[in-house]
Amino acid sequence: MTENYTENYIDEINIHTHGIRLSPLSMIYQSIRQIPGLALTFYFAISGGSGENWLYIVIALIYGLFVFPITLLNFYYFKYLLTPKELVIHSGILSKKQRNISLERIQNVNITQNFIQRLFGISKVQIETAGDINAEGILDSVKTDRANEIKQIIKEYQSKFEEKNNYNFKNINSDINENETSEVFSSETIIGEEETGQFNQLNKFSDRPENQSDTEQSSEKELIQMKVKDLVIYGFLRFRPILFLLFAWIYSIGQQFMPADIHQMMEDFIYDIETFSNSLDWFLLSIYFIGFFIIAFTLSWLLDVLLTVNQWWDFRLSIEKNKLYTNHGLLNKRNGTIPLNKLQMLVIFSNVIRQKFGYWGLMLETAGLSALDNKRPETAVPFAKYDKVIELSKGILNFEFPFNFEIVSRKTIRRAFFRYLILLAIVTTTAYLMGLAYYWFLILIPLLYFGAVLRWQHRGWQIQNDKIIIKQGFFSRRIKIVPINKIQTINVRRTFFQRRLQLATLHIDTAASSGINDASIIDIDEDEALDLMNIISNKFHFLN
Amino acid sequence: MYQLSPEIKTQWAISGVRRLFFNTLFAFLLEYFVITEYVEKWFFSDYVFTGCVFLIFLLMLFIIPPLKYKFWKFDVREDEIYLERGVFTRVHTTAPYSRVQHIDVVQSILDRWLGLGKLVIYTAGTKGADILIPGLPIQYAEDLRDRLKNYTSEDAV
Repeated sequence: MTENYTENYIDEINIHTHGIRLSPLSMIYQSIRQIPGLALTFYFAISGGSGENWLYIVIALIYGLFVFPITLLNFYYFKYLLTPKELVIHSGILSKKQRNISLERIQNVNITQNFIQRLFGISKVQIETAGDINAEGILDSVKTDRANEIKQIIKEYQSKFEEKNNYNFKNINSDINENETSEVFSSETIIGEEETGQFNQLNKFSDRPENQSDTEQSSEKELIQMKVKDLVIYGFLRFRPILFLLFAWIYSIGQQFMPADIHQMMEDFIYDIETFSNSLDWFLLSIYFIGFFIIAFTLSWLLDVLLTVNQWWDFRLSIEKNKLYTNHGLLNKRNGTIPLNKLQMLVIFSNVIRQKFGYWGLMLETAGLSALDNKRPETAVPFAKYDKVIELSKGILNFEFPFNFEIVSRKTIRRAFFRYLILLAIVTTTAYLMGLAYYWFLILIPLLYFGAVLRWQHRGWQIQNDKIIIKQGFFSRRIKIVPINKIQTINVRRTFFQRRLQLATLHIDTAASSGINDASIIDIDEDEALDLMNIISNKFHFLN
Repeated sequence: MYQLSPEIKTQWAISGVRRLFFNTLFAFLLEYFVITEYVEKWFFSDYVFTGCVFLIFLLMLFIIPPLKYKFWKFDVREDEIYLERGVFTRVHTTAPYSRVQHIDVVQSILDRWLGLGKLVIYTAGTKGADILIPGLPIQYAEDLRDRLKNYTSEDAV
């Protein structure tokens, strides 16, 4: 491996003679991955209908005959080579494909490991480049040491490249900011974009003694590490809809043990509700129901704790230069990279219960590195005390704290209440048509009003020097911080009903690639919204 | 503030006719195959539902294009493009030139008959990222495209 990176290596290297195959263990891993599909085919072959039995067996045999040789051939023909300038991947059994990924275009190297891969000590290396989906490279799988080696080599190359080109052509890639001088590279601190934030502040978090870091060496600094205790608390406070899923699952199991005359009961229910309901033992039924609910609730709660511990096990957040690295997982290991210079939005999140205990999390929305859609926002901190989250966020984007939120128009209560009432009307009408005691639903009206008020209370916005901060949500709480210089377009939207109340929604569009967090100030006064649009756009032109 | 070319009303009306046809057809099929089959006591007599849908879309055909035209305005400012549009939901948008990634002029067959063009401005944004200005005289659209092209930047993230 190492002889490929010597300095005096010639540019034209023949991949056929110098290319490296993946780890032989990956062959076994790929074969194991085929087993479920194979098992399913054979299952159908055995349990298939009597008449067409032979057809299934033929299919299963063909499948079995081809699957493993193909895996083997794929392994045999897959070769990769890391030259001083690019990563070359050559693959394909019948139709050959060669990809040359220039090292300077690589944005991200992700190393993931699932449970089976961990057993074999191999990892999958995923290489993301800016924009071009055809330049994505996947090595599935190489030895874990080698994976780390590849990542390290690419990193080193990139820092050399940046240094070398800093004077000549500053804008060669977006990683290099125009304001940066070469000093930054030699200093011991982390490089940050001048306008978006002082990542240098993040140094304060580092628990480890500072490494002797020059640009050539790894200068990763750990910012946050989660302990098992934190994970368990996090799991306890999560309350995800897993509850309902488990509920449905237990129900479907329970259904198998139901009395045989259940269908008769169902028919009775449909034809004659009154007689049916009189025939039931309501007391016993409610005891069953409550007991069932308690069991399902507890089980799902514990399950959530286990899942959380598994997912976020040994969570570490570290920083190197202007990239954050996350690392977590017990059975499946996951590494994430967050390039801070592509940061579009910072989301501080919590829910109503977690917030009571003072725990929040931090998500970072970045612009799409690859052309792959539906990229989830990276979680920089899953769970930590508010102060710590704020301190870390301030290190990333230097905003003013404490926040000083402005409230949205009170008329939003009217809108929300009206909307809830329509929903209630639908439910009540349905109940009425089914002959149920629909009037009981009317008790909900004051409750709905209260809900609308809560909604209004938990909305707020603030415009700081060069940031827009938006607060939203009662159950799931989010504080979104958008740097004004990252804005793409600004919209003011007024629906027919909003216009009747002189309200408007100000929507700020960024290049955040996941559509989960959208930055909107909902229901402010329409004149104010139009003014804000001008103010923000002026700030934008001033900042860029 | 500029307005669109008045010919765009014709184009909207033509697409309105298309919508009228398909919605009426859909309403008819719905009534014929679904409603009368499954709802025993249907409130209206036969094909009143289809007729209503037809009338509503016919009415919209005459009302919507002039209104849409009235509210569609745009402005080419010093450093941004500004749009105002919408009959029911009114939307104001500003897009700074420095965020424009790519500009296209698109011409459909209808556009070609009427001598119009549609300017499409792509940004890196996620929601409502592409800004469309329909109904520009083709010469004007091409000039505007060439003018704005000077501002586009490769790296607008």
